[in-house]
Amino acid sequence: MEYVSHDGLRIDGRRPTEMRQLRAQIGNVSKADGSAVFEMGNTKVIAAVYGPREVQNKSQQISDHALVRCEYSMANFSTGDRMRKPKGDRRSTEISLVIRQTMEACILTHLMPRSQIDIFVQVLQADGGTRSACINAATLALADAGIPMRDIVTSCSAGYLNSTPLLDLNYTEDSAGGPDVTVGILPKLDQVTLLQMDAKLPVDIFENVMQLAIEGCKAIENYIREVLLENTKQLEYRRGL
Amino acid sequence: MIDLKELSLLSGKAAWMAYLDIYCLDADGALFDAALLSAIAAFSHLEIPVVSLNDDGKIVLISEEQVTAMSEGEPVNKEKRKLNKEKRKLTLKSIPLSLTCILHKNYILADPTLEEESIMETLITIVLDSSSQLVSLYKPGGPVLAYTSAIQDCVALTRQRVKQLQKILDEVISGMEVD
Repeated sequence: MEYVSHDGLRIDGRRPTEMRQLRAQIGNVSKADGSAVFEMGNTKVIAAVYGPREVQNKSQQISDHALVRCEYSMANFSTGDRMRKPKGDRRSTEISLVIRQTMEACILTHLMPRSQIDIFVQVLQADGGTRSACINAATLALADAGIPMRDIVTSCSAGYLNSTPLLDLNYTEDSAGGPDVTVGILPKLDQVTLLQMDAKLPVDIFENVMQLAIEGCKAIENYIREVLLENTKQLEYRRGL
Repeated sequence: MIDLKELSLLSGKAAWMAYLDIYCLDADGALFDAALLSAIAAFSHLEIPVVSLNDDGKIVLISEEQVTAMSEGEPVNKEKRKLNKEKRKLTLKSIPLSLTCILHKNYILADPTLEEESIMETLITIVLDSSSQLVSLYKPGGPVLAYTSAIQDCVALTRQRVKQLQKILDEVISGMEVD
């Protein structure tokens, strides 16, 4: 199947280096300390953060820094065919671990010893790049909760089909069987916190694809900062400043 | 509300299975009312796709292009027999809508928030349909015992609520049809 036409257009009409439309909202879950909805094209996820709060299971308490827990689940209706087991299956457990480690790298956990931070991410619509959307949503939710972080974390995926590096794969492109590189970075510190790839790629092409994903991450960073700035302005208006 | 016969494809051989999954994103009291309303909205939005029976006796989904090709009279595949001409919606009769009230001493608090629910123990949920007929009444115990008059007041409140909700649903559905 042809994923990139002769004119250089993908199946959804995008150019190879073009991302899908981004949309984000903060503060949707009123009971959570922080929450956010993040959309990348048709992929839509909601993240809720609770904490820092007292550790519920005392045996897991850490005396010098905070415990970070993360749970990733997909709604039954998020995929094309109804999903039977939304969480507890291997893929969800792996992604929960990946998101936890990614966010843990940027949260200043040593400032909150003996406490717990819970990150819950739920996929409402899955169309490729759910991992990245979840990390971006978690970043916004942590910022909304006021949890101190080293930098924001942004994530984006890229692939390689029909000899072209493609940015931000959707589900059809992801299922094509080509490589899928997911990158998570701390943009201001210019550090990579997450790098995952499946399938095979020659090293020089891999460098190009990874670089493309990093560019995508930087674009998302600009968007996230705009959203956070707008949110702060709203908070100021409400306080009457 | 739903006539299950509308979900049938081939009598005695094949029928549609409808899955309804309700997810609560933000809980602030009266979850049953919100869940029921969202379920009804979802069924109002439901469109049953076009399918055909192929010679193996299996039901297959027909894509949009094949649907237009078939209706224009060019046979895409002679063996495929369409089971329904176009995407169809379910006919919903007597739509049920509800209101939850909390009873506290001799007060009735309609549509409680989470905070109110957490400190009050007696609730009553009434479900009426669009012709104001009683579909369900649920009062699961609690320290406050309801006199008939209290229940009648709740039913009157529910009747008002049903009118409001019906209006909102109609607006949204007609807005959807324009698209």
